[in-house]
Amino acid sequence: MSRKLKVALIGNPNSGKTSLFNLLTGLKQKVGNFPGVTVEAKTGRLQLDNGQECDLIDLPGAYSLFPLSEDEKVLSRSLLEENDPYHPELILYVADIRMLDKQLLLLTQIHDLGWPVLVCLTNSDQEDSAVVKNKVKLLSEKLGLPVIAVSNRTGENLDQIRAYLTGTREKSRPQKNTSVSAPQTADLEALGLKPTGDPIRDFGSLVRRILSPSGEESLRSEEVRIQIGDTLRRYEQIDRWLAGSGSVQQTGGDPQKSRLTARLDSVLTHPIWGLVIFVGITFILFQLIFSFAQIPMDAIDLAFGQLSEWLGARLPESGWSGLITHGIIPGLAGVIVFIPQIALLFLMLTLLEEWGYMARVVYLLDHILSRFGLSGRSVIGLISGGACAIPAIMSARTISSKRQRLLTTFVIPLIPCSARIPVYAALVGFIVPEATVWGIFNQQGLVFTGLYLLGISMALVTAWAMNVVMKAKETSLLAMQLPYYQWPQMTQVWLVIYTRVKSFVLEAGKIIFMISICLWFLASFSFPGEMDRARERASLEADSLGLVGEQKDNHIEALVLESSFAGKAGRWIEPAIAPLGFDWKIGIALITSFAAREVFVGTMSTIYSLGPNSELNTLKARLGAELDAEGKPFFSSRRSLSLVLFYAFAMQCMSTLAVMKRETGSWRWALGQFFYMGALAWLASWLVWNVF
Amino acid sequence: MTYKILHIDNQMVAARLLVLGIYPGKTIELVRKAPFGGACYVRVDQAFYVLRRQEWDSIIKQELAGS
Repeated sequence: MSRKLKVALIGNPNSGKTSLFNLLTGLKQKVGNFPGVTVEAKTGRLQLDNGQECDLIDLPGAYSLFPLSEDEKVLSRSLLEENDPYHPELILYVADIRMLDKQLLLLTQIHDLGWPVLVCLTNSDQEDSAVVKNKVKLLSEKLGLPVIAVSNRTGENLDQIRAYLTGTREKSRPQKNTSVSAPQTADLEALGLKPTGDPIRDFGSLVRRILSPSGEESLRSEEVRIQIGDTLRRYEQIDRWLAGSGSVQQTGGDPQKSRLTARLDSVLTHPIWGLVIFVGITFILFQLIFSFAQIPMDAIDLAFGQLSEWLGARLPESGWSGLITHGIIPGLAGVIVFIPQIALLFLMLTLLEEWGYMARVVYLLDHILSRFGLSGRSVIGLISGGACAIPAIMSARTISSKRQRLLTTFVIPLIPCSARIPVYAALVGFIVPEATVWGIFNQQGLVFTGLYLLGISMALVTAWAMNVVMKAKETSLLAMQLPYYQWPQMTQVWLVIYTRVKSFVLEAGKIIFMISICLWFLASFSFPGEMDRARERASLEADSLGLVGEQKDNHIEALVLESSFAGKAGRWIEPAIAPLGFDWKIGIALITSFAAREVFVGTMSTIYSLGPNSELNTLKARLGAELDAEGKPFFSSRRSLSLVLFYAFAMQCMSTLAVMKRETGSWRWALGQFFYMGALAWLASWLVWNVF
Repeated sequence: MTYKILHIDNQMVAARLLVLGIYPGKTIELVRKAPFGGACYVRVDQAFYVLRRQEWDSIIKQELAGS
């Protein structure tokens, strides 16, 4: 077996890099319109013409080898460190043919490090064919590298890339002495580096030094000065090339798209209308999600309820039938019922992002967010947090200031994520009845909006407070390019939705499903003989209380559940949550929700389907039928609100904690988040239950 | 309003703007400002950028006649 060739795809953000990656590998992954969407380096398999395969690595988009954000460091490290898991053997450099004056900078740096490079010029179908020819000729002459003009829309010339990768790989290694900007001896010495006379080695040690700064303040400024000098020399060279080759126009972009973008932005980034439109878009987004997703969600809920009932009536009475009807089916329902909402939310967010709108939101909100110690770039994280905290926390890597990055990731889990939706949806009906206010608004929809606003405000207040406590040391930068507006490529949008839903079903779904089965086991079994004893005792108790028929059965079922393993666990934490109005049944749900919030619904279904109201089909109906000691509905509006607030604030997501630990490099912040949010949740619920 | 970039005062800002394609010699147009001291929406060549107010202020520039 021959070793697989490792090829890295490198280019500026918005160079068409990721869509080329998708075209080449067919692998599902995200294409960014917003600079830096590709935060993780992703790998895909590329089938070559001779039947061999090669690994294609999609590295984060970057402008320069001298990194200004964590994101850009990924690129420089993978090139310089041979032990890096993403260290390639060959580079596919991607640049938009219409923006060569800007997008060649990184190429000249990589070239000067001595890498073998194949240059792919994207969007060549948008340019005049004579111009394309000229630019290809120019680059291959000046840099001595193979250049292929491709189209990432039509897929034109992609076969040439494959053919090249199949053929010899050594061809593209540049000859010595073609350095675009050889490091100057004085610069090297100023940084304490010894010039070797070999420009490739010298440039390598220069980049390495700037990548891991000495830490000394005086040298740092020297490093930046040298870095600026080097970049300027490269730009001069690139400008000379482009100007010197007669017919090659130097536009710095696409005039037609630029005009359209300018016209749209005069409204969308208008000081007043821009903000009004942003609020409107956000409001419509959530209204659409709740009104459209509710229909399929109710249908899924009902279908699984009936399936469970139908099977229950036909399967022989045994432990196995209980596992299926009370463990597996409610578990599956708990996973599948989420799909409409997740798909819709990602559809909207991806459409906005692909279109180019998200970067405008950064422009509009940067100043407001900086008051809270956040950055305009935090917006992407905060809005994505409305879907799921995990990708949102990862998206914060594009924030160059460490402190703003930390603040952003710390507060993201307070933004109501999609996992809270089922909890809210199950309980909102007990807080306010279904009704229309002011003629058009759904009252429950308004409560939902309120819960979102509450989460967002709490995130901002938290950021503000932390910002006051931790004094700022470094200056932060915002400067970023605004992409042109463009029609979202629907195939890319579908790929994103498909990937997200699939990963939810496979990864989160697996956990939810397994926890559901565990719960069924815990709720159905106890120490040997204990459940039988509970049944006998309950029966005697019921007789002495004068209960008969259904009432007697309910009493017995409840005491039997209480004697199960799950009941014991719920009882154990009851003292801590009783001040919030919660009983041991809710306690079980709280315990299991620490795996993931959405498990709440599955847990409640399992617990209550074993309980006295098992004849009811949906969870809502079962919860509504539950009575308290005084015979009033157990899920009163106050208790439901207390519970909803607990879920709004508590950090009940193992995966988020794990990601937080990974992103900050220690458990400190993850645990801080866990305890801070837990305290917030407890206090909010306590206030609702005891004060109001 | 259109300006010619003469110099960038802050080194870190200069390094960042440079890789984005904003550097001395280029012509920069201030398209609009977000209200209450918010970010600046600028144009260089055919490309659009967002700069924070301090970043915009650190660009030493000369107003071009007729803009």
